[in-house]
Parts: sequence; structure tokens; C-alpha cells
Amino acid sequence: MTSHTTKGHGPPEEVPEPAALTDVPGLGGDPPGNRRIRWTLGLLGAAAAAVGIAWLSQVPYTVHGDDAGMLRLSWRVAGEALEECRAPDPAAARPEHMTRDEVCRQRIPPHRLRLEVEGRTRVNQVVEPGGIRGDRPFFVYEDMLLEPGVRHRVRVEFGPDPEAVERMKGEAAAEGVEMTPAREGGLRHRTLEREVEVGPREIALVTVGDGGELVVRWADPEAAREAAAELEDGAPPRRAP
Amino acid sequence: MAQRRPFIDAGRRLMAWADAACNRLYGWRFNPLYQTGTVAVLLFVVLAVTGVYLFLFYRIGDPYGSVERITEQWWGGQWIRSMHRYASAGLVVAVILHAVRILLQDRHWGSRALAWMSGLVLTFLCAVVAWTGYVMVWDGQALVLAREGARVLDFLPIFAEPLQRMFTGESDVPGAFFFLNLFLHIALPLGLALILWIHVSRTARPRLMPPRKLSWAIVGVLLLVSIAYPVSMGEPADLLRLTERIQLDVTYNAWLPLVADLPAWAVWLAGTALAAAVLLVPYWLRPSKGHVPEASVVDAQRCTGCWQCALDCPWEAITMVERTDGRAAELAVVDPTICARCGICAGSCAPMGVGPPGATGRDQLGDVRTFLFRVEPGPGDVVVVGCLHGGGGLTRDEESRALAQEGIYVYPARCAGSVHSSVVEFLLKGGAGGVLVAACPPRDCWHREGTKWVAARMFYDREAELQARVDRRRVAMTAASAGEGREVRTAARELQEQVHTLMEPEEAEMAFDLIQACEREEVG
Repeated sequence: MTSHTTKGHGPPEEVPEPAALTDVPGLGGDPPGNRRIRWTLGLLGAAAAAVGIAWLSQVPYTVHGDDAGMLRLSWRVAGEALEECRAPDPAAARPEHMTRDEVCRQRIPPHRLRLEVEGRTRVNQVVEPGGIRGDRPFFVYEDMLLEPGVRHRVRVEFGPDPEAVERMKGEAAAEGVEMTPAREGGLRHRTLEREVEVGPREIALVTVGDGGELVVRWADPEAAREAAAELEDGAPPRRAP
Repeated sequence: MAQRRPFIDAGRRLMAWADAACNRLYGWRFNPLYQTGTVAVLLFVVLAVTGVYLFLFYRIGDPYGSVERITEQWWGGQWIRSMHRYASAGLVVAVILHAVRILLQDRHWGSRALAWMSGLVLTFLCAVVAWTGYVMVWDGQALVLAREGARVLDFLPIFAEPLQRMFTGESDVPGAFFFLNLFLHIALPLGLALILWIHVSRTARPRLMPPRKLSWAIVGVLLLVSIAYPVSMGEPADLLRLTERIQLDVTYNAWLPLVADLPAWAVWLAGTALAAAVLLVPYWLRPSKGHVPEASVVDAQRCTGCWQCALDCPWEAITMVERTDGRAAELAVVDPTICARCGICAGSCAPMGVGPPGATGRDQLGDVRTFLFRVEPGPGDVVVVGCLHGGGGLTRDEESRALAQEGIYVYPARCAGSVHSSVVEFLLKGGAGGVLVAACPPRDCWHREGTKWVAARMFYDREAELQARVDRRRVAMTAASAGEGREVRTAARELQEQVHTLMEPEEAEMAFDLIQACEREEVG
């Protein structure tokens, strides 16, 4: 090893340095004590540290200790919109082909989510539509533990909050405009009412199916098939297909 | 008067004990506690190498299955994956020890705050990389981590749709998630290299790797543990089933049980408060106003422009500039915003023209004069120039008083590297029979290179060298942590014995009698 140093002025020149600091008198040599004992203890110490680190990286941890199952409500769905239509602003004179008979605007009212289990209300809350302007789909996500192996009567409702709808209609009426459901057939309220049973640590997922209705899904397809068979046999539903 | 900080002092005592224990087992060269920073870098390299192998077999279309297949490769994949995992856990341990050590050694404030803060960024990024790594396996732990991560992140109003949707079971987790995860797991470590460069940017000659033997020993131990105790696979992640038990890596994921029942806002609040507290450590735990040492200054009249202080400065705080006073040589200039106040420049300057105010070579000679006047060492006595931070902890009052009974006197130095070689010569001229320089172990010098430079000046003619006229038989050096007082005392006694052999017979007898008399008095 060399290092730059100087004797006097000018750029540094190289002078020798100890190859290692262990060459310096008083700094080299083994630590005192019996070498064999030192090596043994040193190896044991290193092994203990390594095993300790390995153990720390795999500590058993119980996330859900009991056997409870879970009812999960989770879906993403476009909201039921209200629509207000007005005559075009006469001040905004446009060519004929750019003029419409009326200009319509849709607004999505907050929806209400209600969950009842065994007739008891467990969730009753207003859900705001997504997005800063409130024009994005709704996202619903609720988890609730259920006692496993027991049939629970579950009722889920999701639809425009009547109070919010009335308020929006009232605001529009004050401006002399009528607000009506954008969809033909009126505002849609989704409802699911059925008996649900979950196994230990099993999750019954209530979500929106392909047809837009609320459905229950299960982790175990076999169980779902059994449930479907029970339904066909006319037996009371244990699990939903 | 020293600042009282009970927690820091208690931590230092514990650190001195642990250092001494490891030094006795491994010697200072291979003491892993002195290598925490470089061991972290070594483990990072191990992670990169083993990660390349795992990457070859990992499939984002079948995350759990591909990792399971890797783990089933008993001849390779199993222990390589285990090494990857254990190296990451070891990295956390090394980083924590490194941070605690820096904290206890007061190396976090002033110009070194940059290293502290960049170290925190490195640690945070390591945690993020680790999170992506655990999720890649897509087992029970991965699912819990993914859900908790998504829940906490969803608090931020920056996502078009909640991230939690991916893990509710409505549909399979999209492949894009695993692709992004893998991308981050590989891209972020590349960013770590850049921040590591910032981390060491204010140090001269930074060491990034441990000694080769220690490196191989660490890799070997990791390999043995990986073979003997390989990582197992947990149950695969099941979105529609509650996870019962997982194998939690507490080195990274100890936060998981703590936040499981907390709302997301509380997690953010606690995390932000913790991050702010750790970031503000350089501000909170810096020395109070009256205790902040002053930065080095250069006496332009004495500076000969020899460059030595600039070369020796461990922080690259000194630059050489053209003089404006008409003299031919250059002039050293200290940047006070970078200067770490170690005083090593004072020991490097032969004409004694640079150093912290009150601690230049000239100031040191004044202190030595006072010291000699006070202790009046005899020809059979030894003066231990002891580093305040290490040096066996002999600078403590009770230690130095006890040693004085044996004719061993302790002269405290702020850093052994700051001691001007003339101090050693002056002590000998002032009557001491021998001088022992007790420094910190080289890898643990609080100012990085103090021990190296003082050794080179005393024994290898590095500027400002100990003059040739000084009898080297009367000068010795030792390196010890603050917990190795016994070793330094032994070295001092050995030097004292050697000094006695160099004395004229009559002189030696007198010195011996003096020691005997002191011992008798003590016993009496």
C-alpha cells in the first residue's frame, strides 16, 4: 500500500506505508488467550448469531387464531344515475348541426349499503361514488366475522340513498328542472337475502355478478356445487352456487 | 465539562463491553461489530447474486408455483433462496447495529447528518424492496403483507381505485401486479446503489467491503445455515380463506402485528412520527451549544502548502488553494461545514499550522507542558497517550488515578490521530521513560483514520513523522476499545519493563524503589 505525502512544497510524492495495520508494532498479532478456545467460542458465537437471524426470519405468527369464518362484501359497480335535461342556452348561438334539443347531465347520488345478519343491522352507511367529481364507480369493501358451521340469514341492500335522491331532486326542482332516473325502469336497488353458512376461516364473498345482481361466492368450488345440488333437490340452501 | 446523557453513556458502556468481547474472540481486524456498515454492503451483494439465480426461475404467471419449484431444488434453489432470505434478514441486523453505533459514537450530527439521513433513506428503500420480495412468493405471509400494504396505501388519495380491490377475491390478482412487484424488486436496488454513493460521499477513501477473510466467513456461515435450516414454503395465498398462521420474518415485518388493528390514518401518523423522530436525531442529539467543538482553522503564516492535512483529512474537508499573499506554495483551507472536528489535521501538520482552535500541535505542546509539570514523570514511568473514545477507557478519572500509583500516567487525547508526533517526543524529553499511544482499533476509530495515521507517523515516516532522534524502544502503540482497559494496562506495564531495561542500573533501582514504596503505601 502506498500513500501520497510530501516533504516540503509541491505536489505530493509517494512514500511507503505499512502493508496492513497489523504490521504496526502493537497492533498486530492474535488476541490474547488460548487459540483453540477462542476459535471454538468464536465459531459458536457466529453460528448462534446466524441461527438467531434465520429463526427471526421465520417466526410462527397467528394471524387468525379462532375458527371464525367471514362474510365479505366487495364489489365495484357503476352507480345509479339521475339525469336532468335542460333546453340549450339560447345565448350560446351555434350552427344548426351543432345544436341539440336538450342538454342532459347525469349525477350519481350517494348510495346506501345495509347489511343485516339474523335480522340485526350490522352495517348501515352511505357510500360516496368514487372520483373527485363523484362520477366514478362505487367501491364497497366490508369484512365481518361470522360464526362457522351455523346458517346465518343474511340480507344485503345496495342502492341510491333515498334521502340523497330527494335532496338532489329538490335542488333541481328549485332551478325549475326535473331530475329523473337515467336508466329506463327507474333506480335500481340491489338486494340479496339468503341463508349463508361458512366453514372455519372460510370467506363468503358477496359481490356483483355478471348480470349485475348481488351473488355469493366461495373459495371451495366443490362446496358450491354441493350447494347447487341441494338447491335443485329442493333442500334449503346451505351454500350458494 | 462533558455533557451528561445517561442513555448514551449507558449505551456506550454496553457497546464497549460487546466490542471487547468480540475483540477477544475475533481480534479487531475481524470484529464484526466494527464492520456493520461494510457487512451490510456485503450482504447486499449476496442478495444481488442469489437474486439473479432466483430471477431465472421466477414466473409472474405462477408466482407461488415457481418459488415452490425453486425451493424443491435441493441441490441449488433451496439453499440459494434461503441465503437470499437470510442475507436480507442479516442486512437488517447489520443496519440497525450500524445506526446504533453511529448514534452512540456521536457520528450523526453536523456534516455527518447527510450520511445519517441518506442511511435512513437506504433503510426505508431496503424495507420496500423486502416487502416486494415477500409478496413475490405469494404465500400466506405475502397475502397478509399485500393486504396490509394496500390498506395503508389506500389512505392516500392518489389511486384511481382502491388497491385493496385486488385482494378481495372478486377475481384473481392481476398479473400486472406481480410484474410491477418484480420490476420494483429489481429496479429499487439499482437506486440503492446511487444513495449508497451519497451515503459515503463525504468520506475520504470509504471502505465498502469487510476484510476478505471476514467476507468469506460470513458467506460461509450463511451458506451453512441455509443448508442446515432452509427456508420452507408457507401455504399458498388464498383470497377467499382467512390466513391462520404464517412464518413471519420479524426482521422486516415486525410492524405487521402492531398495525393490524390500527386504522390506516393511525398507521400513517405513527409512521410519520417515527420517521420524523429518527430524521431529527442529528438535531436532537447533537452536542449542546457550549459543547460543540470548533472547526479546524489554518494559520496562513505557518502553512507551507505541503498538502499533508488535505491528504490525511478523513472527511475531505481541506482543500488547497492558490495563495494571494505572494508566497509560492499553496494554502490549506478548511470547509467548516464539512469539518468533523476530529483534529486529525493537527497531527498531520509538521509546522503545527492547522487544527481546531486550542488543539493545534502548538496547543498540544502547551498542554503537555502543563501535564509534565503536574505529574512529573520519572525515567521509569510511562505516559499513556490515551484516546478519549477508546484506548481501553483509561482516560476515566478512576482508571488514571489507579495507574498513577504504578508510575503509569494517562494523557488524554481527543483522537489518537490528532496527537502531534512532537507530543511524544516532548513527553520523553520531559522525563517520561516511555510513551504508549493507546488508540481505538483501526476499524473503529470514531474519526475513521486516526489510528492509521498516527501509526504511520510514528513508525513509517509519514509526515509529520516522529523524529529519527527519538528512541523507538521507548515508544509503543496499542489499539483497544473502551472496554479493553486490561489490555492497555498490560501493554503499558510491558513498555515499563522495557524502559527499565534501558535505564542505567542506579536509575532503574530508584524507579523500582519508588514503585515498591507506592505499593507499600497503598497496602498500608
